[in-house]
Amino acid sequence: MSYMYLQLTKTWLQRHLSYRARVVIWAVTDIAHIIIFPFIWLSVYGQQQIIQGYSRADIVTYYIIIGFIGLTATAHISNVIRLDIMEGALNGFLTKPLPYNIFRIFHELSYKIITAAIALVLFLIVRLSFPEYLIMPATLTTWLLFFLSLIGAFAISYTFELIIGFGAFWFGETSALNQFINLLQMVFSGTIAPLIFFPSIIQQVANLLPFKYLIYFPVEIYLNHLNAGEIIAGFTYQLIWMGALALFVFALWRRGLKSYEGVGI
Amino acid sequence: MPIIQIENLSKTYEYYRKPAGFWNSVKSLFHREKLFAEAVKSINFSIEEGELVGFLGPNGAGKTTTLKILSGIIYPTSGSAKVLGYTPWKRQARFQKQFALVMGQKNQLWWDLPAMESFILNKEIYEVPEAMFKETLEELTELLDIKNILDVQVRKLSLGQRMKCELVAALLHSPRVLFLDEPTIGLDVVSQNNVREFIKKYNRFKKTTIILTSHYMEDVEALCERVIIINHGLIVYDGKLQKLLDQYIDHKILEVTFTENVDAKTLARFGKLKERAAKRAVIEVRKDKAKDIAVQLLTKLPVDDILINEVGVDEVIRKIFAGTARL
Amino acid sequence: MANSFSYEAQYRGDTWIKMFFNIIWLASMFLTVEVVFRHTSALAGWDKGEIYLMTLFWILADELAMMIFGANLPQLPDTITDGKLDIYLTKPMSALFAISTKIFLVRSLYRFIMEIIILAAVIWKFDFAFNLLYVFFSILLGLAGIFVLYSFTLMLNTLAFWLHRIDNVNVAISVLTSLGKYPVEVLPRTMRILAFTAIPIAFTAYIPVAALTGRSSWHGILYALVFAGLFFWGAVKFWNFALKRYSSASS
Repeated sequence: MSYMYLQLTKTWLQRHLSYRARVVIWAVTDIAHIIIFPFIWLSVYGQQQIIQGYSRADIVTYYIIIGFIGLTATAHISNVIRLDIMEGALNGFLTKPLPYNIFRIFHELSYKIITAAIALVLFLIVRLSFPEYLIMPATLTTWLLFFLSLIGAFAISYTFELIIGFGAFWFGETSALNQFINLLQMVFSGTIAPLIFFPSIIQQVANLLPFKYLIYFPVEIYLNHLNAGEIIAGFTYQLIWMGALALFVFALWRRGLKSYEGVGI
Repeated sequence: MPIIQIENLSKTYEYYRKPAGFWNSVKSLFHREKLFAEAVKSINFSIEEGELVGFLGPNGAGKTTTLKILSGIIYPTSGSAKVLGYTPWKRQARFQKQFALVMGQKNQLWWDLPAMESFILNKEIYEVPEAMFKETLEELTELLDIKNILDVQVRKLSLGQRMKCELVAALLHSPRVLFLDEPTIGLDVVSQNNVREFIKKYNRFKKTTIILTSHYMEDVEALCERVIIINHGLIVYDGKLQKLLDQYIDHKILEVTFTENVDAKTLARFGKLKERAAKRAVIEVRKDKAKDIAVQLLTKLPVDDILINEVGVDEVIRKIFAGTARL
Repeated sequence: MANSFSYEAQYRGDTWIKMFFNIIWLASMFLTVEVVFRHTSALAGWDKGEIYLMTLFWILADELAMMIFGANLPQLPDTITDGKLDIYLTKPMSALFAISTKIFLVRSLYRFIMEIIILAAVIWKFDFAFNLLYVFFSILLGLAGIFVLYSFTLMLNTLAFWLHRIDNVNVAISVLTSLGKYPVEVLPRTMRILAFTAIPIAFTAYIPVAALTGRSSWHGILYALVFAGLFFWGAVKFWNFALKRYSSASS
């Protein structure tokens, strides 16, 4: 059985690498959407050294790490799933002994292997070019906790992509749902700016949503802004959200298949 | 013990009416009418191991729905179906490893990689032992003559080549049951023939049970001893193709060319006039009287040439679909 | 047009939701501006009202683009890969024009009207008084900006003739151009030059609003207009070049 997973990964890697341009474009996209913010904030800082606990180096590192997370722990699979359902390619998968969801998880993970490699290279380049703007965690524990939080972030990101993709079982075009979730993510994950920069009402809503655990929580760990209690609480919430979303998506999948018509055969 | 058994199988789809036009589109933003379509209405049939059966039916007749239920893609509304003893929509791995589905309109190979990569992955998915894989691959690629294209990206292959590769990919695990949905669609005549020959040979040697749906009568005539005709969700015929032809073809076609003009009234005395041009006519006559009428035409009219033709299978099928054949 | 409306209404649940989401999307952009201005009174010399103007100009330009070619150009890579380009080539109309304007997005039109109203509200709220000449130039430059956006999108999508499966280039374009909501003065020199040339994000909102608020010089305006013209000409030339080398992908 394990040979199958290995072969599956190999096949996916080959396939991703045959589309180099596409991979590069996604990498550019993942970085581009936050690239202007460090400059905006540096301009805002002006002569100031600190705003709400963030030093100048902190705020630039903040966005660099967001870029890093974008490349290593963000999933993009929803459109592929939508097309499988809409065009009936799902049919071929339903008749094979390889579960569709396993197939797609390997699709995403093998892609992440490639983008993580890109992320590491870029990280090193930035570190060597602008060391004063890229803070590095002081202890191994911080690194470990950061990577742990990335696993949780990926799980939540992937689950959201499934939710959007499976929406195709009921709505032909899921782009509205997609945009909405992306929007919520932009605001409440801390992608636009650290959550602490926002009015408190926004922060309170962010605390109730899972998006914080995609970006803000990992970055705060990286920047060493959290104490032990906050870290434990954060991981607990991350796990709770992972569980709740997983249950929801599982239910969606089952209901979706029941109403699936297999159009396109 | 039949290898495929269907009892009182029904499938009803829900859908919404989407009338065309501007004002209807506005209305549909607020309210839609929910409708039901009975795709399959309580059908029954069973198929023994090794049979090669053709599913025929116009679009929307229910044959594709039945195929999707048999392969586990969709759930039925009621009734039962058993393939190899398994309930298809449970999608158990043990079941899936014993059958294969090939869709003429939907490609399952990896588009951007050589066909060989798809084969290797399928080998692992279906857990085919190495030795058997090599042997089966050799056999299939030899039969279909595709050894030299295995390293070419699938998207660069012609439709015919792609279909052959699809067949190989599907048969690597030596399935006991094979579902073929429109396997020759869009192929050129040569490829169609190759695929047909292959399927025939494969069924004969491997005793694989094959269900085939097709719009091409040549497929049906060449391959299927038994046909199941589905129309409006019901089975209107299940039996030997030859019997169908014998039973429902009660006439022959006489194609006559004349040396002079013959008027329609004269021609109508000999049989049903189907077509008439200046010096040519096509007359439908009863099968048992065909020879006699031909002789009469030759003796009484200035005939230049005469042909006695069989009625095509598709004519019969068309009549059945149109509901004009007496069944 | 009637067809476009039917196309919209086909996905019922979606249409209502989309209108609602658009409002939320606009709100999120204004929220960003607010968050920035909680910590400063001016961003690179621009005050809050002016940044709102820039954001709205960007929104309007984006909406116009969406209306006219936004649903069409992104289909180009798939059309090329699937070999469907042939259909357009046999028609008497310019293939490029036909492809670019195939579907007119009616919902964009409604959103555009709503966004103009918001623009009016912002102008009223921040008590702007505009010089008519500047208004004229800003509108002219705004239109030039649409041409730049079109050309940029066209050029990158034309690459689909050579590179496979790059339909995601439209996501990249969308993300890159969204950077044009902010004053380019914040960027370091190299990136600023890029914004006025190879990755022309400055043209959609920054330049028109700079003209509107009297920040533009004559040569600045001239540069923008000339660039837009040349860029458009270059994009069409590139397209024609690519078309010549085109071969059907069907078998």
